[in-house]
Amino acid sequence: MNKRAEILHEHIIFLVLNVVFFSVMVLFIYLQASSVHLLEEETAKGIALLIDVAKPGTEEVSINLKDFFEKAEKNGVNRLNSIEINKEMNLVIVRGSKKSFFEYGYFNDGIEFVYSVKGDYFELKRVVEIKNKDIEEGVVENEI
Amino acid sequence: MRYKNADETNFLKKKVMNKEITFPRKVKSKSIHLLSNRKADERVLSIYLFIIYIIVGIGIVSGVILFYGSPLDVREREAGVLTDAVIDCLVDGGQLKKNHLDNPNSLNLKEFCKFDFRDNTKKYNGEERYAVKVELYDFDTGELKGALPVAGNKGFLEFCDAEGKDIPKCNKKEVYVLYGPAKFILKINSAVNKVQNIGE
Repeated sequence: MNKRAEILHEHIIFLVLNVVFFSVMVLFIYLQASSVHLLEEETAKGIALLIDVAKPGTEEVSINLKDFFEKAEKNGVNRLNSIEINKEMNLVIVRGSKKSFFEYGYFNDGIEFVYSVKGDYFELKRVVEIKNKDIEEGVVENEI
Repeated sequence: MRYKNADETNFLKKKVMNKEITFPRKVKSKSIHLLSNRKADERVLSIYLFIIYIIVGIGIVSGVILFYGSPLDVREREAGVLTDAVIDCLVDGGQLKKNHLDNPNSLNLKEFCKFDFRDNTKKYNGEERYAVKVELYDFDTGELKGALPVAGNKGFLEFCDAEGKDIPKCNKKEVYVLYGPAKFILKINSAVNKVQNIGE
């Protein structure tokens, strides 16, 4: 191989190594930032706080969870199964993939409510005081 | 530039890229030495290059893991929500509900306000991770007139003035309330300590 070709070859290797290195770094940051665990945590805590602040008489309050639902569906979990509220244990359980979930507790034990998923929104509806329990416990409205 | 007699001037020749560069012996010094050892220099440079890659890589990876790996901390916000819930529960239209002062020690805040302070997640398995302290002071004199028994985990309230990552987060609020014609200051201190890492 002549000298010119050798030098060109070295430069190409150098450039390829640089491109590979920075691509790996960018990919790593992207994967970390779009991790399903982060979205699970954010969603579970958001819903738990929503339940804590909900007051009897609230007709409907909703939060947009588009990013989370898209990620969960990509991972094979449908919208209805991705969010579960265990009213006995006061827990919000959020599943962003078949293998992972995040649970977070809420302290407000004095209300009864209905929750549903409508489009990209999670809705908390018909909040009543627990002594006026006119809504069947554990009701989930299956709406999409 | 060409020299007529190459033997007399004793030139050193070196090809770099497609240019033929000639150097008189007079200037044979560091630069000539470097060029003549270019292969070795490249090897040294590539080692340094990889060391720099490794250092930069470790820096970026550890920074990203530290940033995205830390839990989303909502404890302060949660403590604020809890304090507001206690105020809503004890005060009605600016008036303190009567039963709190008649016999404060008999009042169970958790039952009265319908709070469940147990954390039923796998990590805490039913431990109480909240605490609330309610005190009533005279508006004019500032004298303590009464206090409700602390609800939840009392130990958390001790850390309210401390700073740190894994210690309870608190929220303190004072509201002006009436009890009949008398004026009071209701002081509420709430603490929440639910430290939960991602994936737990």
